[in-house]
Amino acid sequence: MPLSTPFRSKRSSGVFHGDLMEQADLSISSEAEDDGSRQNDAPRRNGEYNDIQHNLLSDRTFLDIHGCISRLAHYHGIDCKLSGSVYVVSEIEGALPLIHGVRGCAFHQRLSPRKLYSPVYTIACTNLVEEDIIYGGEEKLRRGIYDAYNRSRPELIAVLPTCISGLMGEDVLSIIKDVKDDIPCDLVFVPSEGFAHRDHDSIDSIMQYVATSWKNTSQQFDFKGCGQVDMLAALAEQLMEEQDVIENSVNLESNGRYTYGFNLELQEVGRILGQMGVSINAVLPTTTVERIRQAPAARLNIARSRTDKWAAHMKDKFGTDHIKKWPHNSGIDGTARFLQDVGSRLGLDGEAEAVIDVEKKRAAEDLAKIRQTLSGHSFAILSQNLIFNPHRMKVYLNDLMLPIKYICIDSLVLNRLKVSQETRDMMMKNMYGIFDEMTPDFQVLIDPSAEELHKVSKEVNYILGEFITSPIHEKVSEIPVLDTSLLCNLLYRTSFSIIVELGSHLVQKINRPQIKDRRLIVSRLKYNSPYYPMLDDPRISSSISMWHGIWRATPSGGC
Amino acid sequence: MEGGRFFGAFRACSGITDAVVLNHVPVGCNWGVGMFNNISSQPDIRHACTVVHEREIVFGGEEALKRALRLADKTYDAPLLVVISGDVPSIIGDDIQSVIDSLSLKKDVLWMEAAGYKGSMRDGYEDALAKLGSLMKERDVKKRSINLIGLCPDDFKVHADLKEIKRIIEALGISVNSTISMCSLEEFCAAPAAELNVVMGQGAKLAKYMKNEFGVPYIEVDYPYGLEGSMKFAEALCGNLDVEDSGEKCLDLEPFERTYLYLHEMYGTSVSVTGDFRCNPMADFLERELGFEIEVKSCSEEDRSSFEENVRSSNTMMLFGSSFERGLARDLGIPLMRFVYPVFDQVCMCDYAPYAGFRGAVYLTESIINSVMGFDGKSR
Repeated sequence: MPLSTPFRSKRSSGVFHGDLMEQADLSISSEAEDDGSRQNDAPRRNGEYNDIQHNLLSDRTFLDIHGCISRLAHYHGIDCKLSGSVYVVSEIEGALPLIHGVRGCAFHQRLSPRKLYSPVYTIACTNLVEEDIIYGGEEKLRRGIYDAYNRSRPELIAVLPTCISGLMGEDVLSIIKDVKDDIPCDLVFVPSEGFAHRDHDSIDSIMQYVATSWKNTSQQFDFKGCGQVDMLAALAEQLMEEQDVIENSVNLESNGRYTYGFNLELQEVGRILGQMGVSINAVLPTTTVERIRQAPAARLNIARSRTDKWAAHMKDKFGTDHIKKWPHNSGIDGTARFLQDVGSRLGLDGEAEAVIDVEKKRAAEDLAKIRQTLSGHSFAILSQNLIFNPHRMKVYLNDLMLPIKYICIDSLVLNRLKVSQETRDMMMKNMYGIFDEMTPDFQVLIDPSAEELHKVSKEVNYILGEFITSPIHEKVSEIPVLDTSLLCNLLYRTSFSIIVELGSHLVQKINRPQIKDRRLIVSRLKYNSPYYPMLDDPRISSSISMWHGIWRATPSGGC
Repeated sequence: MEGGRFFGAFRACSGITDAVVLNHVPVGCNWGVGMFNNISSQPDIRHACTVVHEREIVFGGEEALKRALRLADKTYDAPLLVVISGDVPSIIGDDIQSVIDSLSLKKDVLWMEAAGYKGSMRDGYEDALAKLGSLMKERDVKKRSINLIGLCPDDFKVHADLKEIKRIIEALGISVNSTISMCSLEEFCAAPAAELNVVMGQGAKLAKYMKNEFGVPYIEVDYPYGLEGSMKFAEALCGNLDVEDSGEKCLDLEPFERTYLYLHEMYGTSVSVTGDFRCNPMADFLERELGFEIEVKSCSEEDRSSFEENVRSSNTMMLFGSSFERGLARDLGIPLMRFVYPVFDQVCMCDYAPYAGFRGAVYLTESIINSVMGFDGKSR
């Protein structure tokens, strides 16, 4: 596998023990540099924050363009459980996915929805044919494992059964046990049958979890049927080994090297933890096989809140403590609280406090000038959906001190997902509860009409368009929408700089002369009202309706 | 590695531009075919799935299919629903025909079995077209008209190629009756009105069926890449329809004169080519008309496994294939020209920039030259 150029930044000074700096560089490297299309190593622009903007623009330009097809497809379908497993394996340096199934599975799973920019070029498949369905495919799997090893010499083979091998009742585990001693690499087995993907009820559960986690950090959530969750858990169960614990070290769970803002977050977290005296043991799963095996050397796991089954397993098996990043760990104070919690878990309260104070002071100095400019204007926030984290308002109100008059929330996405009324009520209640704590002067509008939006736009200087650009931006050029999508989706991340950068970005946008006579080509197109930015096309709307109908259909025949 | 029978059937059926394809499969299979389908046709979403889940494995998928058919009948404005049944229903033994028979739907329904383990993508395409052929009806024959068979709506450059191929055909005084499968259901059903079926690489099974059922003769031709390939294509049509061959009139060397020095320089370039039935005609163009040296060529599934190995040990300076060859090209530090399915990292918007036909020979040559001259990484 190609090793690529390490990401360099003068603010990136995380402490990685042993040879981990090198390992971590692998983690944040990108195959993209190889074909010259991304310039992560490009000279920085003026000042440090422009470095952030430059890198985010790079991600948006070169990664997100591929992602739009996946976003479109999610309106009328979901991807396979197998794709989550393949995705995780593809993040591991030196690992090879071996699909035990028909060639069609291996063919299209190479294009994982989470990394459309970078297909999984090397994938092995047992290529089950009709004869195997009749006589069984276990021998083929046995040969496939040897063959995969001989061809690619991986350090890890992840054997991934599919619908077919699952239906056939193939005893994959026995085969793995049989060949394990003959194959000089690790073997991991992950149940990945496509028919075991998450069920239609999962949307409701996810939404309940989201709404609960805005307030409550204790709720556990079993994200059943997610290939990514199961693959990560399998690594903890089958690959990791007991290690001598390295004091003050952590493992970080990553979103993946091709996810938006990944490099930046890793850089910032690494830097701050480094200053606290905390080293990064491994970035999971975006690292090498060996680093994953040695993951139990960490004192603490820092997990994403939804996919932490692996961390729970490490707690049981190796006693590794873990901490989750929650939605309320947003904003300057939320981020500081989270980092303080990390420090406390490691017995580094004082060190954490000192570092956080410096970071907060620095951010406050930078924000002071930004606030001054922003305070002279009035704003409305237009959020595309209710999955919107209400804690983001804290960033706008407490950190940027924006004079906000309205917050407009489009909840139609919940109709689209057929979220139950009970869950919707809970989401609204929790959201209003958080807004109430902020003692806001703003007015909340749920699903405002175009006329109402137009009226809002007349009462404020700017509308901040979040998530994706609002239809009114496209259609009514005189409405001054500031597109914040470059940064606002990163406000969940552990970063002080992103908040400062968002403020700086807004100031730049406000100071830049508005282009009055834009006639965007995309504005000439007709869009589907509840499903913006889908086009107003009967093929699209029918397929979306069809998907909703089928996805939410009850076994007894809901349609 | 290729998509298998299910992908082939989907690609054939989704080419009926007003039909809806209902995939009786788990979500992942439906997702996979859709991803490759919508890169350059983003509003053209006419596929859905029955969401075969664990409960269907236990209780059977017939109820799920029934629900989906009822819903599709109600939801879509389409004359035909095509059910493609994949691996799982095939193994659990869903009785698709009984489900269809048990429903009174407004739309016509056709179904086909396309378990991935039962054959290649080509097999799936051939069988699906043949199955769709059962919808055709006897027609009065239109003199000097042909059907083009073998296209897929998600082929790279297909719209531009088709426009150019039609231009050539019409310049010969021949009309195109149906383009299969990139046509409406009505156009598809009217295919027996053609005087000749022209099979471009795939679809021979349908052509044989039409010969037996409706007496429409057929010829098999290469996909028309290059000037020679285009002239051969025109010659084959004219020869079979008793039309004077005026293909050479379309020949225009002026664009090549504009860059002839580069053509001289590129003579002898070592390249490797992989792909479906388009592989050989592309290699012919590169070898016979541009003077390239073909280092490694892989035109069949069997060859593909060793293709990468052979390319790595060759002097290949440029690779021709699909988007899946990007990793190999990147590893070797050479440019990649995408020309075969699947292409998912480039789009086709302009209908006047084909790779096929006379104009396609120009645009293809231009793209090759630009790809080499703009390449920033000459050494491995």
